[in-house]
Amino acid sequence: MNFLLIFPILFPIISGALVSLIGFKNRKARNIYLLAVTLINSFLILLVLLNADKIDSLHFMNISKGLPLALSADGMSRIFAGLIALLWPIAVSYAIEYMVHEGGENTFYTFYLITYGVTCGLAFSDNLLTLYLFYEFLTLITLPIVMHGMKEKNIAAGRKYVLYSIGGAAFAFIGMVVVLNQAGTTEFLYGGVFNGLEGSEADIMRMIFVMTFFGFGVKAAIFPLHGWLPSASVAPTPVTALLHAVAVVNCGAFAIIRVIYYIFGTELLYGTWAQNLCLIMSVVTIIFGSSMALKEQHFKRRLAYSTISNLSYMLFGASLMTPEGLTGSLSHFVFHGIIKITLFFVAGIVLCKYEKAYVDELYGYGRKMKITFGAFTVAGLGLMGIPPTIGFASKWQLITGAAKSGGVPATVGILAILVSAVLTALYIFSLIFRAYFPGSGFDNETISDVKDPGLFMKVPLIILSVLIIVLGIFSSYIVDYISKAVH
Amino acid sequence: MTLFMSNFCSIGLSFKADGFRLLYFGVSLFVFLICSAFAKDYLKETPKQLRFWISWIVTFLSTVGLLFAGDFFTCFMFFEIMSLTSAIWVLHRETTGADYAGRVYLRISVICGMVMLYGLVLVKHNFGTLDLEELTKITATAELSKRLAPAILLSVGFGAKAGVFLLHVWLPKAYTHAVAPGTAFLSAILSKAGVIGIILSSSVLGLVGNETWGNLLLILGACTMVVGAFLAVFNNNLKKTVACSSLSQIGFIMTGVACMVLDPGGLAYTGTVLHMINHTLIKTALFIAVGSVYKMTGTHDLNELKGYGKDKPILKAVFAVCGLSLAGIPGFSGFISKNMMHEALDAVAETSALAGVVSVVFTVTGGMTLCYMLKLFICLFEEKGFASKKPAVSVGRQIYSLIPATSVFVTGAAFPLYAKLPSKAVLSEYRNALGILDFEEVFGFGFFSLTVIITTLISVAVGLGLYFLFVRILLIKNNKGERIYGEGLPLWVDSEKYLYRPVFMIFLPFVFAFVARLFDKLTDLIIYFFRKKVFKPLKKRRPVAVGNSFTYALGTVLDKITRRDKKPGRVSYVTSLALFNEQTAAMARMIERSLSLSMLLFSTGLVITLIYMLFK
Repeated sequence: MNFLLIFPILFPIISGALVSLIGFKNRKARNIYLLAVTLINSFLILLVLLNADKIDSLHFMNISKGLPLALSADGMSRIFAGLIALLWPIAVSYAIEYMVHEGGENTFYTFYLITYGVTCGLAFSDNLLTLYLFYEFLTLITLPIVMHGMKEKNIAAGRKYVLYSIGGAAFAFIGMVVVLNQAGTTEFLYGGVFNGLEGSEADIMRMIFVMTFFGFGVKAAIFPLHGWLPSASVAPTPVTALLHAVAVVNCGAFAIIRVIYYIFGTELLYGTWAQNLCLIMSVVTIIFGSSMALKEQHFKRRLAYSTISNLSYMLFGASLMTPEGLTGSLSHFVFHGIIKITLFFVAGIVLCKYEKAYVDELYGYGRKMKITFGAFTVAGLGLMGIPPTIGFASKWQLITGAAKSGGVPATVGILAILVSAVLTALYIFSLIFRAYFPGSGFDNETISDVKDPGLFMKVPLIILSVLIIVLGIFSSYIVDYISKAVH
Repeated sequence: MTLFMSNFCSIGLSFKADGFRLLYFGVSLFVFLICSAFAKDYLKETPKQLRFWISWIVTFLSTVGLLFAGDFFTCFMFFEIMSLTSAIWVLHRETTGADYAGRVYLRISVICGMVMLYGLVLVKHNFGTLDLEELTKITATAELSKRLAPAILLSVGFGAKAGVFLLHVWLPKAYTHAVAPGTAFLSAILSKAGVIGIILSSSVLGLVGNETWGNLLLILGACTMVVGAFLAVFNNNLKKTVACSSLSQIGFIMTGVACMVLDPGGLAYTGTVLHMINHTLIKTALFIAVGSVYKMTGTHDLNELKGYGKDKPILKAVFAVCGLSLAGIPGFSGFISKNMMHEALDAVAETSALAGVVSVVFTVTGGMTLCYMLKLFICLFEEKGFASKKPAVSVGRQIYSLIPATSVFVTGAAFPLYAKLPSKAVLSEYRNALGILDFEEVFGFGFFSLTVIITTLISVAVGLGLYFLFVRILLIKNNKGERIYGEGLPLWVDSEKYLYRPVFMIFLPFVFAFVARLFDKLTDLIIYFFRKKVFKPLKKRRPVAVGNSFTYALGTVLDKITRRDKKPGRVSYVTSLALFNEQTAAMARMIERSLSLSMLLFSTGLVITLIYMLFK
C-alpha cells in the first residue's frame, strides 16, 4: 500500500501543469476541472489517512548513498495532510469566483494546484532531507502566484518573500548537514536521532538547533523574520487565505515541530538555554503580532499580523517540549487554519467586490452582507477563543500545557496569550462594530448596492463557520486524535 | 439534579440544580418575563428589533446556564457568551453615547474575561479539576497561596460584571445608554451573576473564614458603596442616578459577602441573599419606570422632567415603594435585608477595627441612598413646570413596573406578621428545598430591637440632612423660584475617560507600538544594508578625456594655478601629465613582464628567507 503516498503529490502537480497545457478558454469547463481535481486529490489523501496503518515508509529515490528521499504517513503527517485536504477544495471554490476579478487565471491555477502537491509532499516527508527539498520547492512554486498581479508592489513583495525564505532555508540547510554528519541519518524519530550527547558537543548541537529553528522560523514568521508576511498580503486573496494563513506558514511551524520532536529530541533541549530562547522569541512574537494587528488599518495586513501572532502560539506550544505542549501546538495548527482562512475570505470579498482594503471603509457593511459578516463574527470569536468555538479548545490546551510545564518563560507565555487574546478582541471587535453599528449619522444610501457574494464564495464561508462551531463543540475528539497520533 | 456533557469543547459541561440555583433561577425567570413584556411594548415601532430579541433570549439562556453551572468551565463559557450578547443591548440605540459605552463595556468584559480564564487555568493546574463539588473537598487542605491567586483572578472576572470598585467604570455609562429593558436585566440579574460568581469562588476555593480575603472584599465593597452613592447624589440624569444607585447597592451586597467570608456562621448569608433578591426586584421596577418615562418624553434630564409624574399615581407609587425600600425604611423589604447585613457587619466589627469603620460607612451610605431617591422623587412628583406635549398617561408601560414593586412592598409590609408564625415546623421544609435561605434566622431576627431602630433613625437623619442642607443648597440652583438641577461633579471625575483610557488606550499602545515598529523594520533594515553593501554597483566614473582621474585632477589643479589653459599655444598640464602617466605605465608594464623583475623578486624572497633563518 506504500505506493498510495505518491499519488496525492503527483496528481495535482500533473493536473496543474495540464491547466497551462490545455489553456482553458471556457471558464465553466475549467471550474469543473479544478473542483474535480482538488476533490479527487482530497479523496486520495483521505484514502491514505484511512489506510495509514498499512503504510510504512516509502523510499523512492536515493540522492546519494545513505540519503534517501522517503515518504510516510505518521501521526503528524496525517494531521497536516488532513487539514489541507479539507481546506484546498474550499479555497479553490472561493478562488473560482475571486480570480475572475484578477485575470491570468490559467497561470494562477497551474501554480495553485502544483502547490497542493508540494504541500502534500512536505506533509508526507519521512526525513529532513525530503522535507527540506519540498520546502525549497514550495518557496519557488509559490513565488509566481505571490507576484501574480505583476505590478511593482507585487514584484517587490515577491522579491522580499524569496529573499527571506531562501535565506532562512540556507540556515536550515546548514542545520541539516550538521545533523546528517553527526547522527548519520535525517530520518524522523520521535524523541530525536541523537543519543547521549554531552558537554560541549551537546551545546554545539543546541546552537545548530537554534539556527535551524530560526531558519525554518522564517516561514512561520517568527519575530524578527516576519517582515515578508504582511508585505505578501498584496497577493490575490486565495493565496493569502490558503497559503499565507494555512499551507505555507504552517509548513514553517510543521518543520519546526519536526525538528524539535523528531530530529533534535526534547531530551537534548528541554530546560536549556536553547529552549528558553525559543520560548522567549515566540512570546515576543505573540505580543508583537497582536499589537501590530491592532495598529494596522489595512484589512489584509491586519490579518497577516494576526497570523504572525497565532503562528507563534504554535511555536510556543512546540517549544514547551512536553507532550501537552505538542498537542496544544498541533491543535492550534489545525484550528487556526480553519479560522484564519475564513477571516481572509471575508477580507478578500470586500476587497474584490467593492475595493475596500481598509477597515475604516467598512461602515455598515454587516447590515447588507449578512452571511459574509456573520462568518466573520463567528471566526472572530473563534480567534479570540470564546467557547464553544474551536479557538478556545486549542488555547486551553496551550495554556494548561504551559501551566503544567512551569518555569518563568512558560508563565510569561500564558500571560502573553491572554494579553494577545484581549488585543485580538480589540482588533476584531473594532471591525465588527464598524460593520454592524456604523453610528447615528450613518447614511444607508452609501451601502445600497452592497450584497453578499455568489455561491462559490458563500458556500465556503457557511461550511467554515459551521465547522468552527461544530468542531469546537466536539473538539475533544480532534484533540484526542492529535495527542494519540503524535505519541 | 445533575447533568453532564463530558466531551463538550474538550473539557465538558456539567449542570447542577439545587437550592440556591433554583431560587435564583426563579427570580431570573420572573424578571425575564416581566422585562420581555415591557420590551415588547417599549420597542414597538423601533428599528432593528430582531437584533435585540436574539441577544435578549441568548443572554437569558446563558444566564440560566451560568446559574446551573456545575463546574468553572461551564461558568466561564456562559459568562463570556452573556457578556458578548448583552453588549448588544448597550450598543442597540446606536447613539454616540451608546457607541462609547458599548465599547467600554466590551473592552472591560473581554479583558476581565481573559483574567478569569487565567484563574481557570490556575485552578485546573493547582487542583486538577474544575468541578465545583470536587474542588470544595480538595481545597480545604490546600496551601493558601494556591487558593488565593485563582480566587482573585476569578473574582476580577466576576467583579467586572458586578461593577466592583476599580472595575466599575463601565457601569454608569453602559446602564445609562443601554436600551431600557436591557438596563433592567443588566442591573437586576447580570450584576448578581457577578456577585454569585464571587461567592462561588470564595466558597469553592475554601476561602470562607480567611481574613485577608474577607478584608479585601470588605474594602472593595465599602468603596463601591460610597462611590456609587456619591455619583448618584451628584448627577442630574434620571437613569444615571438609578444606575449609580445600582452600583452602590452592589457595594452593600459585597459588604455582605465579605461578612459571609469573615464570619461564616453569622447572619450575613441570609441577609446578603435577601438583599440580592430585593435589589433585583427593586431595580427591575425602577428601570422599567425610568424606561417608560423616557419612552414618553425622550429625555433623562431631571431639569426637563420636573413634575412629570404629578398625575401618574402608578409611577409615583413605584418610585415611592422602591425608594423607601432601597433606603431601608421599616415596612419595606429593604429594611429586613439591609439590617440583617448591618447586624452581621456589627458582629464582625467586634473583633475587627476595619469592619467598625465600614459599619459607619454603611450607615452613612444608607442615608445617601435616601437622599438621592428623595431628590428624584421630589423632582419628578413635587416640582412644577413640566410642559406636557405628548399624551401624559402611559399606564401601559408603567404597569409592568408595578408587579415587582408590589412584591417588594408585600414582602416587606407583611413581614411583621410572619414573625408571629410558628416558624420552625412550617418552614423547615422550605429551608430544605431552598437550601440556602435560613428562614428561621430571618424570623428570629429582632427587627425592632433598639440598635436597629437607632441605626435606621441615624440613617434617615443623615439622608434628610444631606438632602436639605447639601443637595438643596449646593447642587440645586435657584433661578427666580425655579429650581435648576446642576451636574454637581466637574467633568474630570470620570476615571474611565481621564485615567484608564489615556493609560490603556494612548500611553501603553504608544510605548509598545514604538518598540514594535522599531523591531518591525529591523530585519528589513539589515537586508537593505546588506543589499546596499553586497550588491553595490561599481561607482560610475566621470569619463575623463585623457589620462586617469588622478592625472586629470592634478593637471586641472596645476592648470588653474599656472593659468596655462588660458594661454594659447601652451600644452595644458592635463595633457602632459596624461602623456607622462602613459609613458610611465608602459615602462612599468615592460618591467613587470621582463625576466629580470622576476629574478629580482625571487632573489628578494631568498634574501628574506635567509634573514628569517639566520635570526630565528
